[in-house]
Amino acid sequence: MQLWATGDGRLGELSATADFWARFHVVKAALSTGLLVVLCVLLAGVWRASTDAASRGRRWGLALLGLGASGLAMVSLLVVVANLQGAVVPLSSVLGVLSFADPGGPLEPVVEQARQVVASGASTPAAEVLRADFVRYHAVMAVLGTAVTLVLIGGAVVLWHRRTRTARAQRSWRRVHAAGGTGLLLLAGAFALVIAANISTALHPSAPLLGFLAGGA
Amino acid sequence: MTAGAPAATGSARPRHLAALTAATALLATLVALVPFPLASALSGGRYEDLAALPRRCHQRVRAALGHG
Repeated sequence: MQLWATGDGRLGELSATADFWARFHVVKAALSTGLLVVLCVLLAGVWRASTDAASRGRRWGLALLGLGASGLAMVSLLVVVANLQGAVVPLSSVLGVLSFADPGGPLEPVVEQARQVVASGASTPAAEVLRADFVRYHAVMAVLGTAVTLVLIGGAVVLWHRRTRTARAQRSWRRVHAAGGTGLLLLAGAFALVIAANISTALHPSAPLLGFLAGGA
Repeated sequence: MTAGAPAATGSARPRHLAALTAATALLATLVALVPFPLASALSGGRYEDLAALPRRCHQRVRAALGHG
């Protein structure tokens, strides 16, 4: 209980692990951003090629590649956002991982002590650092989610605009644009839900923080 | 956007897509394998893998509490 109840708010050497965790997320965010960019270029080429394909087999093959690349692009986007969040707010991120990675292990008492201090409502420097970091953790995701949602909506508008400018005879290409625009809008809707959940948690952090430290969120 | 010129790009496009697919596979592998060891190297090699993180963190916390 010492660390959380009587600490000076600097969380002792735990901050060194948080620094390492921030570096880990920076590296992963940079690599996954590169992956996302390459996937977007690949997707444009694959869908274009699938509509121009001479044979049915080649068209279906390219369409399958396009679907796979679309799924991977969506996963990459989530990885980019999650790692940017972890890079900006590493303490809550690493505590969440530790509570999962170490069930019944040597670190469990540390996480359990943090949970007890938070549950007691005690206003110690270390507990306040933990609460503030948790709020920042969710506020950062709300900001990142808003940016991503706006980009996705912008992408959907561009695709729908291109669809209207494509000749009616090019039915496949028009379908690709419509499907892409619809997919981006659906993804934007999902991100809007994530934004709402994170804003709610940032405004009312106590109960979610307890669940988070218990390994439930 | 209108259709391009398949006859002109027909031979270049497969190579272009193959190169992009290879780059995707390479980057996906890097995303999966590189971040932890690279971040560990940037931190002086103190974290061998994710499993070692709780143990390492516990040692640091115990040291900070004067039990280490």
